[in-house]
Amino acid sequence: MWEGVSEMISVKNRKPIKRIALKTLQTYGKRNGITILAIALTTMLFTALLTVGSTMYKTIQESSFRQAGGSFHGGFKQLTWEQVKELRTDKQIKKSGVRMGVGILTEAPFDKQYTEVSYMDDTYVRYSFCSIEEGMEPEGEWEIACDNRVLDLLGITPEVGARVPLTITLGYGTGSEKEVTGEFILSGWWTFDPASVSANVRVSEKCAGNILAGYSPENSSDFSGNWYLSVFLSSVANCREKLVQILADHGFQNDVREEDNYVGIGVNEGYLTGHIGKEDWSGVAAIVSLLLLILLAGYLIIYNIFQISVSNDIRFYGLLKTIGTTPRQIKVIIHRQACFWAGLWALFWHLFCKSWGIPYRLTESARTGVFFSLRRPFPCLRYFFPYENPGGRQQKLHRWRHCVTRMYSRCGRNAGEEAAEHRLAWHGQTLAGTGKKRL
Amino acid sequence: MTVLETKELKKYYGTGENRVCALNGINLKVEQGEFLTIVGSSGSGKSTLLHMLGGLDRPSAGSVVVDGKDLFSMKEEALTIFRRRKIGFVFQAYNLVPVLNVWENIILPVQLDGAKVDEKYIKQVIEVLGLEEKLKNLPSQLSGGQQQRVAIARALAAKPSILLADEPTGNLDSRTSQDVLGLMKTTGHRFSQTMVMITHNEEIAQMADRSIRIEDGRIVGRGE
Repeated sequence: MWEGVSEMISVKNRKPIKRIALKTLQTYGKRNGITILAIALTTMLFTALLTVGSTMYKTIQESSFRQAGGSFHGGFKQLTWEQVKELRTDKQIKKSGVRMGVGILTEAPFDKQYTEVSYMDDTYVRYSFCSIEEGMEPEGEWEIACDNRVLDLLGITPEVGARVPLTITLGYGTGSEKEVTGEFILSGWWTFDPASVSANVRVSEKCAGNILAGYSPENSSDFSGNWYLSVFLSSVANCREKLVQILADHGFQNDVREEDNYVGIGVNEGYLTGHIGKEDWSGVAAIVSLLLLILLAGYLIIYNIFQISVSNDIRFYGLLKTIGTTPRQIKVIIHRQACFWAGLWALFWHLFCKSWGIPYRLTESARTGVFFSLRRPFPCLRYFFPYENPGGRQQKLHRWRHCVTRMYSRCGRNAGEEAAEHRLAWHGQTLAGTGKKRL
Repeated sequence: MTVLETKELKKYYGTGENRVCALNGINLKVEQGEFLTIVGSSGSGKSTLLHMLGGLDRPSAGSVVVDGKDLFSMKEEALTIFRRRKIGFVFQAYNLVPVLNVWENIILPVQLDGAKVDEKYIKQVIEVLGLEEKLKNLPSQLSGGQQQRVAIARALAAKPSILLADEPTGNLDSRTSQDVLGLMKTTGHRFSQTMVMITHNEEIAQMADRSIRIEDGRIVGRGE
């Protein structure tokens, strides 16, 4: 009369479950759709809020970088080459770039535009908004590259090989300035950033040597002939303290300017958190609290939408339970419906990404989402998207290959094995192309 | 042969001072093919007892044995499967699945069990209940009486040993009530099913083979 429980559980009852799930979708589709839409819109709202916030932060930060003239975390000023070599070995420095000050352009037409002349290595150039847009890097003995502001002031048409006459003041602000005048060769240029305080002329290492020949820096605050080491640390938090620590670790200090081992430091204003010391975490706490508040609000809104939707369904699922639907079967019904709506939303997101040109990786994940969500309600999709078994597609192609070969060999149109293979290859490509389009 | 038996069945709701005793030691035996009615006033514990007999709710103490099997010794999944094979329910509110048509509603318990639908038997039940013309209709397109007939057909479809009915005529007018009760009795006899029905209508109780009265969670009267 009564059979074993385990024996009773393994039964073929997918059909009615599928039918209930599908019919429930049809009947309550509108209501569920509105629920999903409400959740999606709430998610979009908060995503937009966070995106706007982070974009604003990034814009402000980028603007600060442009004003500061670079995106390095910070740097050491007025160094000798030996000091540069010494400090660069520190393990806290993840990446560094060097610059050697050559001089300042002070004579007209540069009396109203502060312009620095310096040599920069590749890393320094990359993070200082001084990358060449037209032409090449300055490498020759008298080659320079500069921004178009310099060229505009001089009235020179930007072209590679143009002659640029400059009078460079060495030791500017030291009281014993020296002027070097020369005609330089333009190797390249870039667009001047109006946000930047200073215009820039970059010279080749050889050219810097030529200009500074016979000149030695007046003191440790002289721009000309001194080196500047700009660095990226492991993180920007407590940047000033880290820079001071690096100095201390190598026998330098930043407190007494008169001492021989004094080295100046600078922190990039663009990194707000760079200023946050151990005692300034209240600002971070405020930002974290705000984020938590937004997340909590989002969670509660979505939770309530679900709560309303689920309480409408509880009676229905209770009813199914009384007529013998097991908890497992009810889970399958809910899962199927959830998959359908998730798939529909992923499809919408995929199309949205495509139409707005959102990066491919996102559309790819949405596409995968569509498949994984829809394959349960629509098992036929397994044929088109054999994701579960990576070899599945190849196996199918192999079966196709076998069938087509047989078809051609049966045809016997004087084609021979080679021609059959050739046509087969063509079919294979077509098939693969179709597959790609489908994917 | 005893098909249903309860031993010292107790059910409490709440705790401490708020504890309510819905069933207080019910001992009951129902023989195969018997038609038993349970009568009592509102809040006497009739529905709670029926839910326990059908394994829809778990007792605080005691046991319910159906076909020699203690219902509450089983886990939830096994209990549900046992219930859909051995026990048919007819509720006052019909409890039909609104998204399925009449035919789909009737065969649903059989299909959920993965069994083959015995079309000959089910068509026989449908004929007795007079639902031949309504098979494609959704429950919302039927009258109360017709919906209750569908519920009865569904309860009988899996050929259960016991049919439990919770005031099946509660929402029906007197004429339809008579029809439904007549049909239940007829089908019960025809398909040799044990029937336990809750009612507070004394007239209906008279139609049964045996009737028991419940007050404050206890059986206070038994009658043939």
